[in-house]
Amino acid sequence: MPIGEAVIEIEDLSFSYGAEPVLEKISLAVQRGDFLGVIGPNGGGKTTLLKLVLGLLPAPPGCVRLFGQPLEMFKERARVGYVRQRALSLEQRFPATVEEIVSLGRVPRLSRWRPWGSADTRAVRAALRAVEIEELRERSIWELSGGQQQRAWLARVLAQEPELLLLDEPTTAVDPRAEAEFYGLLEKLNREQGLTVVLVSHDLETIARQVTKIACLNKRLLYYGVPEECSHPILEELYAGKRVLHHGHGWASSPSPSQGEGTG
Amino acid sequence: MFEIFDYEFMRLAFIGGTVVAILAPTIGIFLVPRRYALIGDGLGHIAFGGIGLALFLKFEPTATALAISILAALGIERLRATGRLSGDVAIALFLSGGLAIGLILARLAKRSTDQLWTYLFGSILTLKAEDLLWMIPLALGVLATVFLWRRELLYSTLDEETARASGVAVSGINLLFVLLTAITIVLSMTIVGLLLISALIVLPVAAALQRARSVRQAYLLALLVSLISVYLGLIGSYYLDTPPGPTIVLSALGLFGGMSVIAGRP
Repeated sequence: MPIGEAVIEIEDLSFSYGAEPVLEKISLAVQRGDFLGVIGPNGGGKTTLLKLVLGLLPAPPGCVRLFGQPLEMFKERARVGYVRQRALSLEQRFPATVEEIVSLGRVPRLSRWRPWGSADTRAVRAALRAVEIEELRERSIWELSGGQQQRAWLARVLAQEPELLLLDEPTTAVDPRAEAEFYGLLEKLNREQGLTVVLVSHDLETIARQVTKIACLNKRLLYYGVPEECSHPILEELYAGKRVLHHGHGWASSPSPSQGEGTG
Repeated sequence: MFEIFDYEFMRLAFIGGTVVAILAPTIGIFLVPRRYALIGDGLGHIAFGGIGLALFLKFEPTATALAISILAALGIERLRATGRLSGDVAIALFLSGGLAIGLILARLAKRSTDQLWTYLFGSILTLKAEDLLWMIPLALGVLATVFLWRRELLYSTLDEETARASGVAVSGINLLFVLLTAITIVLSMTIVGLLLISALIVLPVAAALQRARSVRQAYLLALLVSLISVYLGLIGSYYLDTPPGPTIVLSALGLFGGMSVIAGRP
């Protein structure tokens, strides 16, 4: 697929939980090589949008296309990687080494007729190298810092060799330095490997340097375009009633990230 | 010391015990982190309901228990997947319902309580060679299935949502898993009994999880604890003249307690 071709196409997508509308008439297209940041307040529908694209929630037929195919027909799920909020991953404290965790990323690429092979081992090593935690591979995942664990989750999804990466507030409960490094890593993957990235965050400031496009979502899509043209009035409307915005270095601060489960 | 192997029934008990000791933690390693321990218990009780039904209708008890618990496993997984099986009430319903139905039907069939006792608490010493003829192939089938699907099972167990999003057939895997659990429970029925089987599935894994640092370590350690529990239980029951099923479970509890103390965690 050449650069510039649409990886995700969403047209007139509405979704509600029962009678409660969460998304209203969303239309957008993500091109190959894009790094899209989806921002908005908690409860604004960001996670719901991601889950619809991932097929974890039932999208109305005909509204979403992945790699040019209608979502209902799309079978090559392994092309889409997903990193969910860290706090929710592996909550059982089950013992596992970093390498065992990252190896799980290969599962979608395996089948009964194609068991584990040297290509899979290579993909796991490459993923560990890409997130710079190769030396930690024998360590128990629970001995790692929050930032290192986050890299392990990222390595797991990279081992899957996805073409599109969807991340849902991946740095919740990670310290600011580790967060900046994590976003730097994503930027590198996007630039050097041409990985298409969609990053959900409720904080524009932390992702503004990396993303090439911004979607401002609060039930409706208030803005979709380059981050430089995302004006203060839009951001004020986006976070209306949530918190007074103050002016930073050309960027408006969004509400402070809560450490809870973002269901937005 | 080894005169215990002079008896045919003891040799059979050790073979049957080994089969179950290998099977139980193979299921338990996925069951424990899924927090399915009570589902295992529920299936055991339902299998007992199946025994009662078989006695009443004069069917083959083990085959009926297997059929009923497989059906129940499918039902439970469906309830769980649709989110309708949350909370203790649903499980309590299965637990008490299965037991009550089993006891009533067995009574109506005019069976003695002694016979029911063997299903509830095991009767490994009455194991016959022909029992092993169906137990061993079925157990090998369960082991082979888990081995072939181990990565999918692990991914679905540890991070169901991500596995589902990346195209792993999680619903199918979950279904397969409850089926394997149901088969394991019925297989273990004669060894430790339906009321105690979930202890053998859960305790060795729970013990191993306190020490292990990797999935592989956890499984191998659980396997070791399970085998030691069964052998200790069998030898103990022979010399102390105690019922084997409960003695096996007490051995597992002892090992679990011992490993908790060593790990420094209560």
